[in-house]
Formats: sequence, structure tokens, C-alpha cells
Amino acid sequence: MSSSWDAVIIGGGHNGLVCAAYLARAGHKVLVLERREVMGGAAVSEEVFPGFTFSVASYVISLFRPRIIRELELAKYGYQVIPMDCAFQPLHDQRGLARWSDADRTYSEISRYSRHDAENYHDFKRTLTRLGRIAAQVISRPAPTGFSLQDLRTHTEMLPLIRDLEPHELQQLVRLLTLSAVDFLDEWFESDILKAPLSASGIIGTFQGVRSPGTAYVLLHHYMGELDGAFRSWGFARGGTGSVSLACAKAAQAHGAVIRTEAEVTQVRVRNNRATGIVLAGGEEISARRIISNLDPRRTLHGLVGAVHLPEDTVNALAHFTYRGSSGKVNLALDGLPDFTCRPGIGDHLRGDIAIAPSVDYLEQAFDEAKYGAFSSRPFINAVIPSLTDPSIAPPGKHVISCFVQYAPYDLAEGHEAWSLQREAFGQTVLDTLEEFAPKLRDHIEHMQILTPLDLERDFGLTEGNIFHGELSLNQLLFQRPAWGMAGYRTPIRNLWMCGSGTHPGGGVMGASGELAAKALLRERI
Amino acid sequence: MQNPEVIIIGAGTNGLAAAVALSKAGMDTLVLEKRAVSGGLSAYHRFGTKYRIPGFRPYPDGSTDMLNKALGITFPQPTSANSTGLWNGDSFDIETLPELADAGKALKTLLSIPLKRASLRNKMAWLPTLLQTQTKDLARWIPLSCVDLLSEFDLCEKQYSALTAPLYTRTFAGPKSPFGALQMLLHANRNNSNGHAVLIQKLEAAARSNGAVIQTGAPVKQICRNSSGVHVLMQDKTPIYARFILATCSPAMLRNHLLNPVLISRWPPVRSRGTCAVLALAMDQLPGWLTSSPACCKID
Repeated sequence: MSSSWDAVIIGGGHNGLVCAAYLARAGHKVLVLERREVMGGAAVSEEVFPGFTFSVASYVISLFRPRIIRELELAKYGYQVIPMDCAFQPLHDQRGLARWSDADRTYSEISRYSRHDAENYHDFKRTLTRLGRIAAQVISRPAPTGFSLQDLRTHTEMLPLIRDLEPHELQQLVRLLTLSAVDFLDEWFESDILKAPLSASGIIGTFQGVRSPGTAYVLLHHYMGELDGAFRSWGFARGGTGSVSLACAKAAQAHGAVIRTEAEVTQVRVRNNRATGIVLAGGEEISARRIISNLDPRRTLHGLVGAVHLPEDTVNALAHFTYRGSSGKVNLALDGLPDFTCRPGIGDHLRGDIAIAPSVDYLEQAFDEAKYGAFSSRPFINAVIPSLTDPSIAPPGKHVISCFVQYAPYDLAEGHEAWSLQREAFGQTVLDTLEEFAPKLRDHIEHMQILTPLDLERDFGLTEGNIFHGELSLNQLLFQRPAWGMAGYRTPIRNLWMCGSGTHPGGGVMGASGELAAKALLRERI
Repeated sequence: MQNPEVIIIGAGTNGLAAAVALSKAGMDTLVLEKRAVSGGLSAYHRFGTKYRIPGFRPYPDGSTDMLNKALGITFPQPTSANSTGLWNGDSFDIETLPELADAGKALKTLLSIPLKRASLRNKMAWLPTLLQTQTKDLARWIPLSCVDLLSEFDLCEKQYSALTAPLYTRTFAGPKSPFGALQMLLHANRNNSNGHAVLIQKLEAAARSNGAVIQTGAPVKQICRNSSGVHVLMQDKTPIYARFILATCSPAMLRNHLLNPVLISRWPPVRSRGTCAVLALAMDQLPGWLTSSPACCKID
């Protein structure tokens, strides 16, 4: 094997592939090594059961950076996202609440519960969109790491954005960073039915409840995507989420990058505090001038490098970097569509995002059980039926439902290994919960795939099942992601870099970590 | 009675300290206190026939120094004692963590710089504190929960729970709720000091000697404004006009009870969620664990 690789990328997730494409485009010889037989990491489509293609892990697209799509010409390589039109929240006894991209339709839906909230909803969206624009600027720039010239430039570029804000918007921004999702929403709305699904977006992927401080800012993530409206910003990738990764892979290959699957890296070779190459599971060694890891910080530094090669500071910082996965995934193959009691029949409300979040207390109670090491007996579920929008992923007349389930704490009271014994019970709990709103769902199920946090760790290398490669809490963001001094995609080992979601700006299928890491590398003139 | 220049509502520590400062500056000051005694939460609280507890709030170390400096009065240093914890029927001293105390001091310095109209000078004032090494700790620590923060220190189980408990209970949050560490840092160098009564007496005397009038048993019903200016309405509807009104009650009390609704146009949402109660016991003798502990000897 050639030993003259400019860069070897460990892990073919979407970030690794974006990074590869950028480096290859700049003329470097790039090799991507993926442990599994499919590309994409957690952004993957797999035909798990004959005829049924699941977006096994990540299931909706919103935040993928438009700049990457443009610069890498991803549309040419099959990137296509179909926007979602609706967010539907089934309820027990009423018609449920559907919020549409059409503002008038949403107004009339919300005003059934509260006219006051219907009036405020538009204002709320506008304010969050304005603030989301700032957040979007933050995530498309490298995080400041100190007082370098580059940092000063980042700061100066941010100033006009802040200056343009009205004083009360600045106040909202500070409140967003510290308040709980429910406290923040209390300031806008009175109806529990509306607050519940909105607050649920504040907890996704975190080990916090909707009333825990600090969850409000995650709401912003939902307003960073597109600027013309909240719901247009979420969508399905045609062919499943994996097609986003495949488009990145094709772009990388078109520029000459080489991609190898079933190539598990077991070690990063370090000599004199420099990374010189990697060792594959079979013993094969590949040397390269730069090693870039798409894995999370713990897996990269503890797993592949080893604590002996690391300074004590780094070992400490890694020990304090928390993961605490809190969610699982249930994917269903159906021979028909679910029929919700509150809104029977097949309608447009099934085409979007379906949230089982009937009340704020329901969500907080779901967290209560997780705190003491059990999965929620009535969890928050975010379900989507992508086959309605993209029939290519299921046999004719059949459907795929993807359910994101929270809370499923990685650390059960009996230890995380106990997940193997509780997997089936977890799946049945999800079905029980869904059947409370859509009875006889079980009659339609042909196949079921259950992914516990332990499965997410084993199958996708998501440490402790955390879907973001480490908690997205304020102490693990920006210049502190993953730790002080490592926010610039570098590690204490020379020539070893990181480009996964464990680096700034963090998780969600954004591709920004991969892009910013590649650009940081290119500035170094590798 | 002649209208004062400033009315201070509430004769707690803050009200009295303000009264000292304003009256020293030559302002005609009137303090109105609802209760029969001044001192607010720091006043002696009587119960039963012959018992009293010396206020609900412990004083942070150094707060009297601050008052001495600002107001030019000499307070006796309050008696200070370590906190005592109980563990399986045994008592122990609760450790203080110097790292937290240092970081807490840096944080207080940062917080004491006013944010409004951030002038260049204000920004420069941040620099020395920002450049201290604690900043790094602060940025990482503040968003943490109490439990996460303490897990960074090598503590035995009893110290661990003893240090967590009294801090998060001040808020409507649990030991594992984010930002609990913020509370912890702000109170890191706070020891229980039993100097309340003396402090209040001194403040009150200083205010009076500078000419401030302190009226106890004078509950204010409402704060109003009309063509003649701002004024407070007393329980019997008598108005007292003043150039300034300084309220020391909580924002929620001010908004919900004292302010004439006409005056509230855009009021920032402030929550006050009470989370605790006080149980005071009158006993014929001290329990064993308390007498054996060094912390109890100084009880007022």
C-alpha cells in the first residue's frame, strides 16, 4: 500500500467524508477508512429488511450547511432534501395539534387551544429565527481558541451581528442560553399543549428534562436551518439520511479520494509525540502525513492513541468530557399506515414530524425515570414516516416508521450491559406508547429494529450512545469542545486532528465539523 | 410630616445600608418597614414566649469589611464557624474547597462590573479577571450541576453530599440540575456567621445618627404616580411623596403587590419560586452531636 498519503481519515461518517472531500478538492491524496461495510456512520441508509430502507440512526436533515452543499456541489452527487410540511402532535381526546408551514393554517390550529398563543406564535418564530441566524453564524466559523489573529477576526466578524440586535433580543439571547425550555416558553405561551412539543426540541439527545436549566438554547437549533420558516428547515433526504453521506463520498471520490470500507483502525501510531500512521485490525499499517479522526474524542485519544502518549491535562479533560446518551431508536417496517384516533385516516399530518409529547409534565415524568436508571415507561417519541414522501425506500404500499425515543439512559440502574436484556421490553414500551394514540399499530408491523444506547455504541461507535459525540451542554461548546486548547481540531499529538461531532460546532447532521476541520488543515498548508 | 427626598421601602440589611449611604450624602431619607422590627430576614425572629432565632440568612465572610469600607462604620467581625454535617449519627466539619472559593471570588469580581453601556473602561476592567487562570475553570464549571462540579474533586461520600445539599436547595433545582455550580461558586467562601443582630443594630444606629427616619410597623400599600409625582400609599391611604422611591423587596413582590399596574408597561419576567421552609425547635438541652461539634459553640 502506498505510504504517501497526505491524509488518512479514520471513520467514514458524514463529517469524515466532508473533510475528505475538501482535502481532496484541494489536491491532497486522501484515504478514508470505515470500519463498517457501509459509509455514513450514524448518517446511514441500510436495507435492514428486504425492500425496506431505514435511516437507521439519524433520520431528519435540517442543519446541513448550505455552504458545503454549494462548495462541494453535492446536488450533483445526489444530495436532495424534501422539506417537511407539518409537525403533528397527537393527543388523547382532542384533534391533536398540527403546525404547518402555512402560517394561517397553524394560526387556526393553535387558536383552538389558545388565541393568545396563536397570536404570539408568529412573533416567537420571528424572534427565534433572528437569533438563530446568529447561532448559524457561530456554527459556520471556527470557535475562538484564544487570542490569535484568526480569533480576533472571528470576534470582529461577529460584532455587527450582535450590534444589529434590539436590546430585548439580546436579552432573549442571554435567557435562551441559561433558562430551561419550559421557562422560556412560559414567557410566550399559555397552552401546555403547544409548549410540550416545542419544549421537547430542547431535550433531544441531552440527559436533561424540559425543566432543566440550559435546555432553552437547543430550541435555537430548530431555527438555524432555513431562514424562511421553521418547518421548511426540516426534511428527509431522498433515499434516507445515508444518501447525504453518499453524496459527500462521491464528491470526495470525484476529487480523487480513496475510500475503504471494512477497514477498522485499531491504533494510531505515535512516535515522539507525532502521529505517523495507523494500524488496521488485520495488522496492516498505513502511514500518512496527517491523521484525522472522525471518531469522538474519547475513542480517538483513549481508544486509538492511548493515555500513555497524552499529557495529563488532556487525560483529565477527557475524563470530564461527558457523554450520557439518553436516547434509543426503533425502526418499523409496516404494511400500512398508523391511524391516529384524534385525526383518523391518511392525511398530510402523517407526512411530517409526529411528536408524542402530550404535555410538559409527561416529558418531565419521562425524565424522572431516566434519572434513576430506567428507560421511560412512557417516553417522548419523535416519529417520522419518510416512505410517504419518498416511496423508493419501501415496497409498494408499504411503509417505514422511524422513531427516535427518549429517555433511554445508557447507564441503567443494573449497568449498561443490562440493555441486552431490556432491548425487547424497550421496543414493546415504544409500541405501547404509540398504540395509545394509534391503536392496532402492531397489526401492521412486518419487521422491527430496536436500537438501545448500547447498540448505538456498538454499531456506530457513539460512545455511551450519545448521538452528538458528547453532550451539547454549555461547558462543552465552542472553545470548550471538546476541551480547552483542542477546539481548533488539533490534538496534543502533532499531526493528529479531529473532525467529528465531538469538535466545534457539534452534533446534528451539519457537516460543519468536517468542513471547518478541513479548512483549518488547509490553512496549515499540509 | 414633610415629604422626604427618598423613601426606602423595607428596613432589611439592604434598606438600612442604603439609608446609611443616602443620609450620609445629605439626603432626607425615610425608611418604611412593614414589620414591628427592622432587620428583615436578618432580624431576630421570635417564637414561643421566650425564644428567638437570629435571622434566617448567614453572612458571607468579608461582607462586614465591605460595609465598613463603603459606609465608614466599624462593625465587629462576626463570629464565624464552619458548617457541621451529620453522618450516621456522627458529626463532622464540612470542608471548604479553596479552588472553589478562589473561582468564586473571580466570578464575583466579574459580576460586579456593570454591563449596561459597556464603555471601553468597563471592558478593560474585565481583563485582569479574565486573564486569571480561574477563567478557564469558570467557563467550564458554571454550566455544570453541583454533582458534576464536585465530582472533579477528590471527596469522600459524606463531604460530597454535605457540600452539595445546602447549595442547590436555594434554587428550584436538584443537585444534578445544570448551573447548580453557579450557586455553589457564588457561595463558596460563605461561612455561617452569627453577627446578624449586631449588624442590624449598627446599621440602624448609623442611619438614625445621620438623620434618616426609620418607621417600623408602617406597611406600604402601593407605589403610585400622579401629576404631583411619585408617592407611596400607606395602608390608611395616606400618600407620602418623595423624589425617589427605593424598593428593597423582591421584584415579584414589587410587580404583583406594590406597583400600580399603570406603572408596569414592560416588566422583565422574573420568577421567584420559593423552595424551602424553616423549622425552629426550642429544646431543653442540646443534642449530643451538636455539643460535641466545634461549630455549635458560637451559637448566638
